[in-house]
Amino acid sequence: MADILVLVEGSEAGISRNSLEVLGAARRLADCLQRKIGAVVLEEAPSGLSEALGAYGADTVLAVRHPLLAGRPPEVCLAALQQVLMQKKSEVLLLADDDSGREVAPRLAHSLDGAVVTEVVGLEVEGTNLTFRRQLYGGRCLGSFVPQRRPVIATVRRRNMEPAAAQAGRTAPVQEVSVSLDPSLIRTTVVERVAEEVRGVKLENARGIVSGGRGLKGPVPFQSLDALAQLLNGAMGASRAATDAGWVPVSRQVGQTGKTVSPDLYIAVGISGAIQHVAGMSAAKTIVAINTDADAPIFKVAHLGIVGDFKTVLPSFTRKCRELVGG
Amino acid sequence: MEASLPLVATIVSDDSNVPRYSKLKDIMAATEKPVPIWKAIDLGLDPTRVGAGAARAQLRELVIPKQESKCEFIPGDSPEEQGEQLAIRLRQLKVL
Repeated sequence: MADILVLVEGSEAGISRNSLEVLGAARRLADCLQRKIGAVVLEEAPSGLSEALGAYGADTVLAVRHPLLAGRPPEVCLAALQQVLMQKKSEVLLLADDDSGREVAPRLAHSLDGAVVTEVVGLEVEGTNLTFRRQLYGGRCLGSFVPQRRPVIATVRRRNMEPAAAQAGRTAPVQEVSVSLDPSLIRTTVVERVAEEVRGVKLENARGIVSGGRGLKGPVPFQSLDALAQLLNGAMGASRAATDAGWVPVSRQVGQTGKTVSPDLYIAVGISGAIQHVAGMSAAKTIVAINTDADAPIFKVAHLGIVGDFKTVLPSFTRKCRELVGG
Repeated sequence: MEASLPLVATIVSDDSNVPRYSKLKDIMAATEKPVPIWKAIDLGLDPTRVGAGAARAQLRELVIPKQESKCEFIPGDSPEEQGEQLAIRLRQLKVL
């Protein structure tokens, strides 16, 4: 039987956190279906990533190496994956739900006459039936989808699956897959890259986030939120109300039309908790809400709450945090 | 990015794009415009390949996740004390 395939991304620093989670999800699937896991690596030249994958549950590593994969143009990745799936007659490919995964997955499914499910937050197996769960309507609903075609291409949303744990000593054979790729595949070219200027930790990667909303009533209080975020080694976020008002740059917006985050700690200050905001942060491990309105919907998703004015709560909280973390 | 035509682009909600709100006059004018309705057949689409029946992934179940509030409210005689207690509680929970 064909392997469950996983597209693994990484760098010299190792396998990306997203990919570890996808490998974790694939392991559950593979065990239920009694299949093996084939980890697909797309790279310009051997990077050492392939050799590391056995320890994280890959049974075989399918390495595609080609000079055109430099910079990972989506059309080239697409063509490479198409050929890998056809050669291996695979029925399932899991990818991380990141920009490139979301770009490649639907095109791949379409070109192979298969099915696609994006932003997967859960998966189940009944017999040989696969069911994928994802959020719908901006997080209001959860839908369970049963793909009607094979192959199934699914992108797994970050921070919803247990990452695969390293098993020391476990290895997997690396098999080089040859594909034919042509420069004419590339339809878009990157003319210039400009890095977003971020001081400190990036919002999407932050383990702690302190976000403010309409309740802050202006740009000034965000300075104390930022200070608290720095103290927690995290990043400052905001609700749409705050970015729309121009108090905070849009790059800080958490929510359906902003960034989706899943930190260990999310502190929502003066945020009512509109569904669109909650959709972007409900995967946080611990959610703290500080709001003057006891009926604010944010308290429905919060684990810890204070009904009160941030102006009086935040200074003592920050002071105590500094004392506890020894900053 | 650079690309040749024809191309499809998706636009993000961002500072760089100012929404174009319609004026009342335009809204009124819009009601006068003809709205052609095209069916799959008019577009030359194979009916077995469009619509819910042709969906490649079928929606089996749709649920509204139950949101039972499990919020623990931090006690305290004053907001200052609540703030301190919150930090202590986070430390107890090993979040901090």
